[in-house]
Amino acid sequence: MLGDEGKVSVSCHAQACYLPTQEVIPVALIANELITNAFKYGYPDGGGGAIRVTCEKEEGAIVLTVSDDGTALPADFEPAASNGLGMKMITSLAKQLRATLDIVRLDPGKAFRLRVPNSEI
Amino acid sequence: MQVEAWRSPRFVFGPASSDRAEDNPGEGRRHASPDAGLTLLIAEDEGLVAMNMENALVEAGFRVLGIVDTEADVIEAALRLKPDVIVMDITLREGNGITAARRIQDSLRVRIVFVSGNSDPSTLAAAREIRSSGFIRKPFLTDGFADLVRDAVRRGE
Repeated sequence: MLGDEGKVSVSCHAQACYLPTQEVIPVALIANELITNAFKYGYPDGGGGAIRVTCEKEEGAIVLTVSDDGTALPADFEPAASNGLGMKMITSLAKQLRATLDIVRLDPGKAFRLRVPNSEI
Repeated sequence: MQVEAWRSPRFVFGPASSDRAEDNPGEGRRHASPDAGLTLLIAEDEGLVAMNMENALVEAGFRVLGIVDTEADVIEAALRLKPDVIVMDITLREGNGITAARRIQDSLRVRIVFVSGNSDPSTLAAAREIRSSGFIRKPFLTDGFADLVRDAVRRGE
């Protein structure tokens, strides 16, 4: 289910970011869903590839990005309208965090960019 | 997704009933019900719990008009959307469900079902003072949730 071991690599580059517990748990659950989705659907032909996870501070926000170089998203992909449980969880948790989820179409691949507002940053 | 894993006593007030759906877990869950089509607003500040409630209620035939998570938003949404039922968490992101219920009932006739993990005596007493249809304790079992709401709505009629 999660791809052939050794063929998909995950890299993580993160600044030290601090969030309250009630926010960091939903962020972690979203990260888990996005990374799992990238494993499950990013490289379906078994050819393998890279998944990149970054976490950075922006003015007034923390930005988590999960990207891959694999399959493109369907042209009409809309996270809030997705019937998949994972995307429903992501949109529910993002709403709770007052976060925005942007989708960037790469060539090849895609990036999911979660921007979590935080007034102390 | 099963968020909660066990059942606990949920209704702490309201008349006892021998034919409560919770006595027959899953009974009637996928069948047409006289309550099908009732409109409903969810006030819940935990995103996954709200999602779980929505899935269970939609599957049971309720029409969920929206999910809100603050006292101000539930008051605004209730007055604007005029739902038949509000499923109301007591601890909200800002404010609380009991104050919201009082404000809403000042100007709207709506059935309110409280859902809360906070079942200390003072909370229950405050909830009891309000014309509510029932009190569902968290944690609840997803499979039985819509039946509990339906049961509370019937009691409140």
